[in-house]
Amino acid sequence: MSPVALSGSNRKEELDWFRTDSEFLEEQCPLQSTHFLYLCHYQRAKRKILPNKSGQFSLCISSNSNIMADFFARVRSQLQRTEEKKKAQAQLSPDVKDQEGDPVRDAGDKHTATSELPKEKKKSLKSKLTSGLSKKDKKGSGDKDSTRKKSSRTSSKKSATKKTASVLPPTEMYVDSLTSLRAGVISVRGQIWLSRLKASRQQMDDRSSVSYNTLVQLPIPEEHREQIGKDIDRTYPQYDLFQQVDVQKKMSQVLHAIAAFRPDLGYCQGMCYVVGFLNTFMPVEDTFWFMIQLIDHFGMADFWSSNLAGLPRAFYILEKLIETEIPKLWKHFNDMDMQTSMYATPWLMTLFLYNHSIPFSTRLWDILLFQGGTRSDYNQPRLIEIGFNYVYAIALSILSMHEEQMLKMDFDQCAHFLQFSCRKLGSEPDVEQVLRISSRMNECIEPVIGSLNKEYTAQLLSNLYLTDVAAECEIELFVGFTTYIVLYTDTLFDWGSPCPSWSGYQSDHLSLAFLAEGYHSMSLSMFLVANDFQGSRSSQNGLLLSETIEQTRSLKITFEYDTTRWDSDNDYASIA
Amino acid sequence: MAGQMRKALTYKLVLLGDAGVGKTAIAVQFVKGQFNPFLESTIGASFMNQTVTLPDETLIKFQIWDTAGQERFHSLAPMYYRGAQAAIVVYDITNRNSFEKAKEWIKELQQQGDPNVVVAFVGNKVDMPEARKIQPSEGESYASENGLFFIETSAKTAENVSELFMKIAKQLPSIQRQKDITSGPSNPGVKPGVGAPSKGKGGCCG
Repeated sequence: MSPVALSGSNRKEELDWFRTDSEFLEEQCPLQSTHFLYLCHYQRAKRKILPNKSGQFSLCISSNSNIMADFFARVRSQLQRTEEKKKAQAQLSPDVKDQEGDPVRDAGDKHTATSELPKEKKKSLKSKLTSGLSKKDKKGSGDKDSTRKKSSRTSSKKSATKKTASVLPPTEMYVDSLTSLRAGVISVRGQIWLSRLKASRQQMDDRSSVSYNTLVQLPIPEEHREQIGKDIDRTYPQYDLFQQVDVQKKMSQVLHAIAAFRPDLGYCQGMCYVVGFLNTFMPVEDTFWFMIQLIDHFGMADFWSSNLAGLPRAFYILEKLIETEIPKLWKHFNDMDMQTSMYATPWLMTLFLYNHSIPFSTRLWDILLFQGGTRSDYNQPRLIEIGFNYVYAIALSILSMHEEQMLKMDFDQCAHFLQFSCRKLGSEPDVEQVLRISSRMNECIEPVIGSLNKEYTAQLLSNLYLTDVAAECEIELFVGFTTYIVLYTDTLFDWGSPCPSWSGYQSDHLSLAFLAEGYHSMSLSMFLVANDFQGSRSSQNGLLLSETIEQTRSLKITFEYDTTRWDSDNDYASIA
Repeated sequence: MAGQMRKALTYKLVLLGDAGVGKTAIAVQFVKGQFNPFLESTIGASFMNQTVTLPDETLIKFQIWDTAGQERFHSLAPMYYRGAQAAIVVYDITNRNSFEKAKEWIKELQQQGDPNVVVAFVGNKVDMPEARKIQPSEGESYASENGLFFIETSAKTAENVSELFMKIAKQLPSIQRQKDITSGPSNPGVKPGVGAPSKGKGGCCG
């Protein structure tokens, strides 16, 4: 019998059933690996899965079909409810035509963000532009609507009457804010970015559950404390601002809080740039939560994790994208043996901050945060993937803008150029160019990135020691969904004695490698080997494979519905 | 260039060591002849190059990969030391941990790096004698045990920095080869990154 063959009479049907439902899910709500990633991270941090407010779906993995059926039914009914709500809202809000030639609207229309929105939203936008800030403030201080649903309903009513739109649902606020940004109202940028990432006070439940001030007091491991101390002086040294004692103090405070809040990440070089940068736009506490959102929802956890699991993958994806999108440059790079890893690390780890001036970065981040998530709707958890994918679009546009120049350069010049010369950018036309090119790029690459992701994993797996198993797993794995793997795990563990090269991996490497895939720990052994291919090193602190498997087994398949997000169903299930 | 006189031999060199020991400062001192106390922390790796002329007029061009020191970047390091013909492993003489870390780097290079790589074991920050924790003898003896060459530098005062690179240049394998076998069809100008013959690339003879 083939190792991955499913035992039991109804396994075949079960598989079909899973497939159907996962396809359904993928279609309906773009659950992708990063979703699992952050959900898993939350579990790791021994906290409950993030509540629903930011529109995520809970994770359910089980080989028990009843449990899965139940789960899917819930998701489905939730989706239906959401749909109904939307419809109800649409009926409540009359479709008002915009006036022609309105300058603000025109500005908005240039931007894809606004052009996709229903008219009523644009309308409210427009009306808000003049007093955008004050309204937001009102919302921040006065309104205590606890549930998103309620607030969105109220607000759409209000925006329909469009006289006193004191409460705006997030989407409208974002787009509205975006228009403000484009109109040059930059003093509110920090708050706009915050609400865009759903990190503002009223958007993020966690903010009330953990006190920033407490986190700052908590002890963190010496290595992180020391490293933060070393890096604070060395962040943005070209700007006097960052040499000021109080500025540095704020930075280290936020970094400390992150290390305390996310012990799995601790402090990672590169974070300091992001924190320093954000601190110029918002109060420290907001910076902290913004960072947490970047980590959990923007995919930065991959890049700041203790083994930088996201980097090799991103290198792979970027390299492939350059090959298809900027083939001439790719060939030039290839001829010189210029690898993505030689220049793209700081791009990815600081989201372009390290290599660019602050003014330019600021505009770049506007693009990144708003262009990236334009299809996001507060009811749908789309922001995340699209957001990070846009990093690739920007990277490509930066390369593409300098293609002609770089084609004439040799290796040394290119390497130097890519590291330092971008700092000389920063004028508005450049930003506009990035915007233009990156949105064009994004259209081309957005559909591809998902498959490149899978391709990368497939490559890892194809190097599995047990190739025949790998070959079969691959096929199934990349049909798309976590649940499949669970079906196999029993088989996986029956592979027999592990090959010697399996021993001695850090448990962290393991879990991260597999978390990065978004799979449940039951498939751990597979990723162990995949991880080997990545060149992970063995460590004295590492666990032997046998121990790991033992651990994994003892983990059981735990799963929690976070039913708080499914308003009326207040039951809470935990199956061990 | 119009009158290209002599071609420089290009070598890949990698700087390794704990965070904040002065890897970037050494490289910058060597390349630009400057010391800047406020250098930014290196994320991933940064690239520089500099050419030196040996007494016999040979031009040696170093492609310097300066790596990030934080432990978690360790997993990226092979990308940079792979194919490197020279490595500088730096520790801070005022910091015991960094010395231990440097030893780990040496071990790793011995196990995973190119067998012919020229390794320099460097104690930096000799401009701070009052804070010294590692005596020169300690570094010296570790280096000699492991067949490395040892030198103490100060990126701040430039003490021994160019000597360091000069010494490496003199030890580079193909230079030696060229000197030893004067007429042999040696392999000048090892290509950056790719050229170095790495162990175990033996086709199908396994």
